[in-house]
Amino acid sequence: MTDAVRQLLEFSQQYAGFAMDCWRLAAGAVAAPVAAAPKPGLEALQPMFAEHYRQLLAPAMPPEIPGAAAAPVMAAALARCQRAAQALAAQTTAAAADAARRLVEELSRNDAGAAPITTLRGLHDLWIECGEAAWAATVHGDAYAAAQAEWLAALIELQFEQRRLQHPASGMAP
Amino acid sequence: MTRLAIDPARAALEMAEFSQRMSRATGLLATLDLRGEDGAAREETLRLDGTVLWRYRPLAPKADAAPLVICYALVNRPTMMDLQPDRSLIRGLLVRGLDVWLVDWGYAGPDDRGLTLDDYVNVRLGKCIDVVRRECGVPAVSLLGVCQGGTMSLCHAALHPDRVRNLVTMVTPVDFHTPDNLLAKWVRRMDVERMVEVLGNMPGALLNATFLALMPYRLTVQKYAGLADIADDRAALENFLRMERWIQDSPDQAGRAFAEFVRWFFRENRLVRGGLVIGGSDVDMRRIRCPLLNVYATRDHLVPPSATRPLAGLTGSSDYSEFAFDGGHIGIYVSRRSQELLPRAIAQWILARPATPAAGIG
Repeated sequence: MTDAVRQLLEFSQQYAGFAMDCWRLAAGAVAAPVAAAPKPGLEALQPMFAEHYRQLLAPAMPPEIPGAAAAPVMAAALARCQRAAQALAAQTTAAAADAARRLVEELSRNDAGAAPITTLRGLHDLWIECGEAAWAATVHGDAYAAAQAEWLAALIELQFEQRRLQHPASGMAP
Repeated sequence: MTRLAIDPARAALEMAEFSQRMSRATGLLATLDLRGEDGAAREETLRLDGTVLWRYRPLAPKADAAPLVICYALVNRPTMMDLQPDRSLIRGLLVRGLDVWLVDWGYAGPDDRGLTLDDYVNVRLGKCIDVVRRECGVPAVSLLGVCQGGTMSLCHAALHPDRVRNLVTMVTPVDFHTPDNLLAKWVRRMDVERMVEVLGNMPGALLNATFLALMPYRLTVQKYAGLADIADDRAALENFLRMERWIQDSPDQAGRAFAEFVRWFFRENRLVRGGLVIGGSDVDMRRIRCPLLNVYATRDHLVPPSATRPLAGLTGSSDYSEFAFDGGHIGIYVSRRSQELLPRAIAQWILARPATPAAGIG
């Protein structure tokens, strides 16, 4: 329970910092001339989304075993993990760019159905809506499913090799 | 022109108020202790290793209906069926006079890695149903399968049609290859055979992370930001805590059974395409001839309606009906609206059908 409360307090602090950053960057992005490219705020918003995807989705790597990386099989397994992580990161980066674009587009709307955003919470809600929409557009694709599957497979093989290094008779589950 | 119209002075006040509300919410959460909470009164009637068959004590005079056996999923815990007194499908069924039993699969441990779907669908569920039939003196039960438990119940009913008087499937995946089924798209690409070979069982934490990744913003940051709105509402915070506890209470999955489930259902879609064999017997859906109620949620992100509604054309039942709940996969159990609608719909449907079949029917 103590951990959960601490995490919630951390979330509260992050929310405050995030809301202010998002407000500043979004304001910069929508204020930039239409022809301006790249839009400074838009460029800066992308990492905010990317970081959030990373925080939410990054799995724990198996704990490192001192000296293990020197073993050829371990080096190969680690390299495969790194390649898989990069491929997955490319997917989340693309989703983040799409999310930032959607947010700026939403904020730039001036049709009758677009109510003004007058609160930080309203901006946060819109950020979530755009983040979720961009995420859905990315992760329904085959490329994401393939990258995610390869990443999990690479992690499993890394764990297998780590076990085999520690217990040469078997890398299987105890 | 921009929609962004935040006044700096008001934003400063808003931030201060948000921070205060979150502090109050977390402070109150820290004082809540739900450990002593019990669900509806029940008795253990059978234990098969980790699997327990519970019988609930009646809350109303017994209705003329076949006993109702709830078969929950292997994933997550059945506490969702009886989360708290005013959010409980089980209590809603009990107060309508139904005799409710629950199959609780428990927590798979390292020794369970070799359990198969046959062990769950035929052996354990079969033994539970046999106990209910014997205790109640009836030839067949009403079977209510929840989510993956619904898929397993369909298999059981197809393999043992004489034991199932009525079948209710709830948010149950049937067709695993529909285009909007994101979980299925992901899972069928994964090499789960190798995963369970190395890990033994499938870690519940990994499954949880996968479920959260389906809607990573709504299921995390939006939910936690919403705590500020209920900072002074003790009952709402208790609800929040119960839900969090349920989400985190995610059992590991017995490795072999999990791999079979992924291969046969997610990857090969055998319930729809045919060719499903469990325990050496064909699972022929046309052998399900009993009355069948298919309950689904219109905004279910885990089991979209497209995945569950194909059941209509798969079985041999001439008494098939659907109940559509306007909500999501979790809201169907715990939302305020579902508390009135769902138990009533299920109970009315069961009570409208005789407890024992007339000759030649069923």
